[in-house]
Amino acid sequence: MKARNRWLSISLLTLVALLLAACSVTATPEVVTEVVKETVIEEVVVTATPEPASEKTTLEVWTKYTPGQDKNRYDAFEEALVTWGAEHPNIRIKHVYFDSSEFKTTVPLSMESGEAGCLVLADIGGANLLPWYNAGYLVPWDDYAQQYAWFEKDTGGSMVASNLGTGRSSVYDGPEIAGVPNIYQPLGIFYNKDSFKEQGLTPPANWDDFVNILETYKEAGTPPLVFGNAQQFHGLHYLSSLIGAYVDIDRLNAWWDGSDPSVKFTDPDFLAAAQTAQEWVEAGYFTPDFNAINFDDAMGLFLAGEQPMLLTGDWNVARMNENAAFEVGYFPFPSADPDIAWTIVKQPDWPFVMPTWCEHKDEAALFMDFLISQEGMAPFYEQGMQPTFPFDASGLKASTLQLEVAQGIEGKHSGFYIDVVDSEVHSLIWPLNQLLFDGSVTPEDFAQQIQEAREKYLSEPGG
Amino acid sequence: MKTMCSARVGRLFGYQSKAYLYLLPAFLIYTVFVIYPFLQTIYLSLFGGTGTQSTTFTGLENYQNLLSDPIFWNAFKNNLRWAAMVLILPVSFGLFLAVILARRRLLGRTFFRTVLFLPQVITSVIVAMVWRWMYNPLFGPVNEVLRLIGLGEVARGWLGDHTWALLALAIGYSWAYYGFSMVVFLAALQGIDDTLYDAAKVDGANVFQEFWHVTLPGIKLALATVLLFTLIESFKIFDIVFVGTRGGPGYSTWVISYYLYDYTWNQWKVGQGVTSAVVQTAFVACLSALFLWYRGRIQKSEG
Repeated sequence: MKARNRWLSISLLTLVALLLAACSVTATPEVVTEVVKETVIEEVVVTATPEPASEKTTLEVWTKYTPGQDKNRYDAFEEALVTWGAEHPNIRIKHVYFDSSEFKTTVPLSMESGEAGCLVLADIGGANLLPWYNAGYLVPWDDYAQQYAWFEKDTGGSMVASNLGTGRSSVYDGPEIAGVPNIYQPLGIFYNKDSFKEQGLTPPANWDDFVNILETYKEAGTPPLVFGNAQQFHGLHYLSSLIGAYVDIDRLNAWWDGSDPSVKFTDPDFLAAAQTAQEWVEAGYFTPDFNAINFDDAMGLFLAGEQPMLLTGDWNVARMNENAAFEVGYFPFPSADPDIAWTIVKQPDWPFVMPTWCEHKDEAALFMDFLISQEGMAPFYEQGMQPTFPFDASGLKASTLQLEVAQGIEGKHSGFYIDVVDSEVHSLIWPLNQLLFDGSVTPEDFAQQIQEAREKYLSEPGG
Repeated sequence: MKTMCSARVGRLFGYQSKAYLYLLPAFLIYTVFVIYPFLQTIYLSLFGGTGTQSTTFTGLENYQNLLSDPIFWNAFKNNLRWAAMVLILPVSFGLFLAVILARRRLLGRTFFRTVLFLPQVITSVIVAMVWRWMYNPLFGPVNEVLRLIGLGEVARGWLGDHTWALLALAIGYSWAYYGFSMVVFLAALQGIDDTLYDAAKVDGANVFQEFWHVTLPGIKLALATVLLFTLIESFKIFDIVFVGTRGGPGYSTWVISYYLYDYTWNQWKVGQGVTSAVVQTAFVACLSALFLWYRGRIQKSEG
């Protein structure tokens, strides 16, 4: 009996010792990733581009380009990698992708622990770029921008537009560029051409035309604008577009980068945007019960031809081309004030950032330069997106709708997705926009809360 | 010498020590996975800044900020409302079904027991998705049925309506959760002596009197247990809110766990986020202690 007890005790002690030993091992925190696709390229003769690396180097590039939700961007990126690999056999790119929700959880944790890749996509403003920039995780691109003449190339000002959220100045004179974008994500109205023809309508040339179209459909018993705000972002798209329609671009920039404290969200032009949002709900221009409808269901209403107009971005062009039972057209969101410059939301998509711990910075910069080159941007264009840097589209595949988008956004000023201005506004405006649209808060109260959040952010260190 | 050593070892491995030794592995696991993270959470709640590596010691500032934050109090109130709803809906429905299923003469009793328990095994994310679909204002069956029976005016976007969103989620949750209370009550009902029902019948008691004077006292302990578990669960609710409404419309369905999620992951204010977790844990611990004390009293009174 005693012997058995002793054995039992020894076994238990061994188990405890093993457990302690297992716990004491200092394991390197492993970055949890989704399925990783490595693009291994066969050896090809080196081209004329100078190679910073003489030995074979592997660069990890972290994106949100998933083959599921974000198939178009994923396909474009993968195609770009093939071209890159042929030209740079010594620098292998390992593409690691995450869905956008992981950019709120896994990716920020990896940034904090210094485990993220050499190039990482960052949501602009308060979501990723700003906190990462303020925490000192990012290498400014400025030196590389000089070296590769990105500033001269970026005639559309996409780099500055991407980095305004970091509190930098809106001129090129010495800003720190934390992120470099390669494509735009323009918003606009996609409409049912067949339905417009039936109603005898044409795309609006100005605000009055647009309101007339809205009224025509309303009188015909159809809410003209598809709206699905259950996930809270679609309301922000409408609101951001309305802000672009009412607020002069200089005032908008001043509010955005905090350079002029006298410009406030409570000013009449900003307020008019919030008021119009509510007026349009009361007028019956939107899908009823929009706060209970997901965006995908709302888009289903548009694609099924039940409602004629949808405000969304060009990332849905391919989906519309594939699924709409009618011809889809595009027009930019009109300007409400004829005296101000036409501003639409065409902020650049998530830019690439380089974390400080990247061991192959020169190679990463070379790859970045490739992504914003003609060769790097062509696959994105062919997937329906609009490149940020000057680009020759001749000879490339493009759908009619995509060309309409390109034509529609040309020459318009670039407004903002209003939620990404800073972290305080970001966290407030997502739930608050639902309350604005359903009339639970007045436009004045809404504007006041947004302005207070903005001021709170600007008064904090790093703001 | 050998005898002395054996005696010492014997004392070391005596009955009491051996019991502790057996508990040790479980205790170690508990320490590593529960006590340490909990202490770390309290520690983190004393730091400010953004991110998980915040190093600015701010003392009790996070607690002050939390308690003066109207969004937290809104989440807290919603959580109390949620607790009230799920203490009533699934528990009473589970009890109702258990009483019916406990009848020995019910045909297909085993079949119904199994089928009615099934929703309990569905993961809460799926439950949320199913009910989101049920409530969908465009094609959801709830509104379709209402229109079919002439109540079209009542039809609405349930999850987008400030007044109804939380209750709509609670109904979905209750559908999945009643199985737990049903099974516990069924077990408790089997412990009630049949002669008590016979005696009640002889005394002329009707069904309701039988339930009130025989069934309910007989399952008092089980009821207290179910209520305690449901209460604790109600303060841990997150997934059905996250998938169902993302806290919306506005802040209508924000509960404390959602507050914790939003402040930690969306706003990256980890200190304030985990502070809400500490306050939530303290609150649930106090409530649980109160309940356990009450349960102890019941046990004592029943001898």
